[in-house]
Amino acid sequence: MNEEKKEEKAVSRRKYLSTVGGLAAAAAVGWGAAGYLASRPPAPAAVRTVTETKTVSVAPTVATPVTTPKPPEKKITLKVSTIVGINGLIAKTLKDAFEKTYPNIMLEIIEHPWEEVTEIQLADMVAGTASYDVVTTFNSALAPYAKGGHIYPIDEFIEKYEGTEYDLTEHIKDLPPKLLEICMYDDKIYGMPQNWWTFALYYRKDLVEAKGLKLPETFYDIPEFATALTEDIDKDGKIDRYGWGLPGLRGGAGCNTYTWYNYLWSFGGEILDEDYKPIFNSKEGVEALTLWHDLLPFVSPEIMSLGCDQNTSLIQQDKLAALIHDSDQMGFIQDPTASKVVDKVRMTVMPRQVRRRAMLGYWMITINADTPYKEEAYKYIEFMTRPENLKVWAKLGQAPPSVTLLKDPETQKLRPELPFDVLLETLKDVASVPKIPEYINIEDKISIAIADVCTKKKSPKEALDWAAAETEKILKEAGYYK
Amino acid sequence: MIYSLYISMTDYNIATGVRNFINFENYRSALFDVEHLRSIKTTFIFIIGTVALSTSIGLGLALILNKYSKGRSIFVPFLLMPMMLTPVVVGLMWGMMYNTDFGVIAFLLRTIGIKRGSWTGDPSTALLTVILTDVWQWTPFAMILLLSGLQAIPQEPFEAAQIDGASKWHMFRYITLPLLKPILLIVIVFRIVDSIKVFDVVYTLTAGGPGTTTEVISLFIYRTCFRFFRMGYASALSWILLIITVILCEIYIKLIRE
Amino acid sequence: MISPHMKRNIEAISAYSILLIALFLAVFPTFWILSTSLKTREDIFAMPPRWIFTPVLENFKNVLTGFPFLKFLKNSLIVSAANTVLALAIGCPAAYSFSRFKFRGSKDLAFWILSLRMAPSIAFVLPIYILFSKLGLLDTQLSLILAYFTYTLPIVIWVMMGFFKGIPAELEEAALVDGSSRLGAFFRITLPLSLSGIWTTAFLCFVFCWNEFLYALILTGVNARTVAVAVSAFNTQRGILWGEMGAASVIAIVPVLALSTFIHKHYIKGLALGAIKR
Repeated sequence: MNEEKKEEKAVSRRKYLSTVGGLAAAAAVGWGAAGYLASRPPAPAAVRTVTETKTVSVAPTVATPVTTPKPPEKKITLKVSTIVGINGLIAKTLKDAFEKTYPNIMLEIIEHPWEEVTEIQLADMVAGTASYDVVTTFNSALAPYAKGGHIYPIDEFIEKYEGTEYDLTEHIKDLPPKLLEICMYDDKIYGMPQNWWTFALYYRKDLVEAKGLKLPETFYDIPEFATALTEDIDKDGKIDRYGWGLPGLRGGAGCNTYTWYNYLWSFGGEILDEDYKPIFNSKEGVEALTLWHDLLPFVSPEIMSLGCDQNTSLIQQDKLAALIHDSDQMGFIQDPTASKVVDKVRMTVMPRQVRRRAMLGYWMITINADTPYKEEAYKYIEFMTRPENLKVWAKLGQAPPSVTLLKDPETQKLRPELPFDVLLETLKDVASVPKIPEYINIEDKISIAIADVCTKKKSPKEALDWAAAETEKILKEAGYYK
Repeated sequence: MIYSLYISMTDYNIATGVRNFINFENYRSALFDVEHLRSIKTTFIFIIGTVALSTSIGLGLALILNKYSKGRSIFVPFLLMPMMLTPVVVGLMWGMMYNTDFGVIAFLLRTIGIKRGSWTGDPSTALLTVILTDVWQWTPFAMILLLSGLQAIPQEPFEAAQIDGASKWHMFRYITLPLLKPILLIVIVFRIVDSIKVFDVVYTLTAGGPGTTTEVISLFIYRTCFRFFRMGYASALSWILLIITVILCEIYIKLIRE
Repeated sequence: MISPHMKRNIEAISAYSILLIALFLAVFPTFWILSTSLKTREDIFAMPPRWIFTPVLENFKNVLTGFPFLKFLKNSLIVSAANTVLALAIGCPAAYSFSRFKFRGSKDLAFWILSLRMAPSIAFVLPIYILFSKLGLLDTQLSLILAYFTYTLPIVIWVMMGFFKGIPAELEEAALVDGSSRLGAFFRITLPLSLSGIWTTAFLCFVFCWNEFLYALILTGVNARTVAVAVSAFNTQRGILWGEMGAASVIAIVPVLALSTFIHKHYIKGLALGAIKR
């Protein structure tokens, strides 16, 4: 018996060793392969592991040659991180033109799903790998990216190239003023807006005319308006067309907060005051949220899963008659392959209450702080904002970020469904989110508050007070209050 | 892994670039964080729901398939289908089907008289929809593993028992179950582990909503890291989660191995 | 009085009806996706749902021509197949030694392996990202193959452990007495008997790799992108392209479905083999 046991033990040890050996061998093979891969002739991407720029204060001492308009023949690839959709389309459409203008710069356009784009870019930025040289980002992410030193301000390039063929100052003067302001953090310009949107009142012209309705001029006109437009067409007890639309989706851009801010501001409220104390739970804020709550009967019960896109779908499917909505959605509503209500929907300025202040949202292109190709990235940004290229944007469905073009009838003809005059009128009073890195955290609390009101879990006052308390906690921890 | 442990001891915030070593401060605040605790509770309910349902349904199906082999080669591949879909698509698809305005399920339920508002948007039913969708996707997992386990059980004990005049239930309880224990254990452990980490389906179906009703722990960690940029805290949360999982499994295995 | 014969019939009927219901439930959503992929956008949103419609192949065309979808398929295939094969190759012997030999710390080691799977992916995504970028592995299939080991190895080891345990050691002893080596016994006796387990595990590993999302999203760019990420990209900024997403999902399912049918055939063979050996 002992013999067997001993033999077993010996064998078991052997077996164990063989297993471990196998594992080790596999690991070794893996390591060898990794080493081999790492040692292959480096693609342009690998060259830059030398530079470790993380903080903003690093001077642009990069090996690329300086200001001569025609750089020597070193070919580089500029990787552009953008999102699937219009931005990606714009990037791809203008790729050839760019490469023709700059024969030594190749473009690689990488499109990400828009909901995940922040994560992907962050992973890259935190690791410092500079997989993307040009980064497309949006309002809420500007502050975190900038403060964290992940993107690079372009002021020095603007100064350097002023008056040359890469001059950006003309375009900057042409930007709608608020739009420029929100591309800045800490008084530095971080990039140029690519597409932008604000909010407007969408309504079904045919229904409004048929019922002889007057468009709501103040926010308190909306309930009556919505009542008239809500219909149970086939009388089966279920509403078939909702008179008003609200997004309940938790989140920021394209979700409930961005739309609610229009209500908040128009009622005279603000998100934070100058001392960074939350005041969205002021009397005005509560009023705004109460109106929101009172509009719930006219809105689809699916509100909690409705965001901007979903509301557009509802309009397209003739299930939604009116709402305050993102201004860049009109193109989709006019798309005959997707929409049943082509030519029936119109857009006009939002109602006002104490004032009319709309949300201004945007996607902008910026420079990744870790890239060694900052000059080239700037050139890309500058290229994309040239008037002839902006016209391409207009053709593809975007309102160009240029006051001149917005006033130009020819450009308007490229986008007949998007009334530029409405946009220009709305642009007179617009605002954006607080430019602090903690903003997204705060936004989440406000979003939950709105959601709780939509599900009738809390009253508007309770919900907002809760969110304000949470906000104070967050900002206190971050050191905003002395 | 080690890097992550290190990060969890800092207050690293991706947004501000601040990184200070703060030892176990993260862990301490995690224990008191209301939202954290709430997401753990939500996850817990979710796990119980999905593991219990998917295992029992899977077992039932496996038993049937084991006994009746006619047409099995057609049944099995199709019954495995739910598992083959990407969780992201599963979430989106079911979300669409639950939708009151466009969805098939809502429509069918309305025609048989169950009227209601939103399924995924109603706090009282949101978690249920998430559980059901997860059960739908992973019951095949349980089923196929249990089926293999059943197939591997030798026939002799059954024949002997039948000669002795044992009842069906008797045979199941005293022969099948014990012999199936190792596989059953594995199925349950894996289901628990997977459910603790569930992310894709919940994210696409409800995004943690409405409000925070379906915010499971991995969603919470995700938000903390990528939306609030508090990577240090998120790492700490992940480690806590890992420890909880390990403890859970240890307990469970000890219980079963008695 | 119900005769035993009738009782058996009733049982059979109820059993099969349960199976049919299960089948319906399992297949219906997939069928729904299939029908969505064949509909025009208008039909997709029609309410009440339109059951009869004229199918169009446009969505499939868009998916295949607008994106390098075949490349994504190839990537997914390579990653999933390679990982499955490697996981089995490493895992089976390991599982065997765990099940047969009680060496010191075996329980703990086994548990540690299981704990690998327990880690929430989010926690380790960034560190792994950094690690792989230092190794130059980003956006390669190898990165995913390696990353997925933390999932597939535990499943192989633990499931096969269960199977091996269920195979009485006497059978191997008999072979040893006959003069074969440990390894030989392993290959000639244990493995064939546990074939059903192997195929099952292989299938599960493959499916997991095929559908995994988070790591694929973060660790790959354009070159090594897998089908799972590609399908979700149809959730565009402005609207979910349901038709295209449906088409992509259908294309994505085909290889897995083929694999499962293939596996099932061999599964049956494996069972028969097992029965004979007994």
